[in-house]
Amino acid sequence: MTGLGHAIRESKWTFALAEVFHLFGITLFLGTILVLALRLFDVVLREKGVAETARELMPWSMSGLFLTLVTGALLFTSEAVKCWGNVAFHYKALFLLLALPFQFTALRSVTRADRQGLPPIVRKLTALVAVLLWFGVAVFGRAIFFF
Amino acid sequence: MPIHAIFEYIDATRSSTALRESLYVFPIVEGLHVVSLALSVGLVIWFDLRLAGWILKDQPVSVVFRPLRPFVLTGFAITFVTGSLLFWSLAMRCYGSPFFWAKALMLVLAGINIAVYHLTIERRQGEWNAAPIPPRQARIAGLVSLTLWVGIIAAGRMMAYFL
Repeated sequence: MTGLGHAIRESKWTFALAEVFHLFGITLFLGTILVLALRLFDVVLREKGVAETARELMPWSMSGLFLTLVTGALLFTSEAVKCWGNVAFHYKALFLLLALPFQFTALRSVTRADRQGLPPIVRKLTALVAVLLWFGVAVFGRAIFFF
Repeated sequence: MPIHAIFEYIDATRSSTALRESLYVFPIVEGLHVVSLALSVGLVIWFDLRLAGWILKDQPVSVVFRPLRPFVLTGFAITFVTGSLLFWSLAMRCYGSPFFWAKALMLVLAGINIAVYHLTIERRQGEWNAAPIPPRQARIAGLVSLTLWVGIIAAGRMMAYFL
């Protein structure tokens, strides 16, 4: 096999592996976002405080997010031109630009220990918006392939 | 073995062709299959990690699992139905994919693991429900499940990539 053939073949495997780890990260991250949202809705772990639950989920959710972002950046650099003209990618970027700040401002502050007195409707709305934004990122991300 | 013939039969059905060639239904089914992973595997991870004694040790196993169960079951129902439809539409390509067979094997093993857990150690859950670290057999069941789901996701993604 030629050197070029090897390079292409290897990059095909590298790309596929990046996709696999991207999906690991997404499953871990979206799973923890769902657990946190269900906690904010008082559906799960009702005996455990919101702040305490959030603190225990944090290393898992942040590992998932980190893995997703790093592999996502890798995938993006190898397909930047394709993404530029892709409608689904534009929506994904928009949702990501909304979801990331929302995660680290609204969601984080609602799960802080000194915010236990917040009305339940505020906690539930924040959880719902976070879930919708992150699932929007995932759905449009999957759609890139079909455009 | 008539497996090849069965796959060929499925592949040649009208419904298989229609799904394979549909402009919108196939992408929607595939999108749902991937996104429902968060609901199925993404949530079952938490139960597996609790069984392994790694997280939420101050919460009894039943407290972690029972409220999650309806969501996990809904997630797996969506993943299973959409996955079956994807298989139906691409039966012959699945047949030729080593990743498909690896995924199928790991799904069977995951099913056996769940059945063994329910039939043995879970029967005595009353004795260890509140224990921060569950007994060895329960921890193994949790870790085996985690490992298999990691493998199933990897095989599924690779299969889609190389189909």
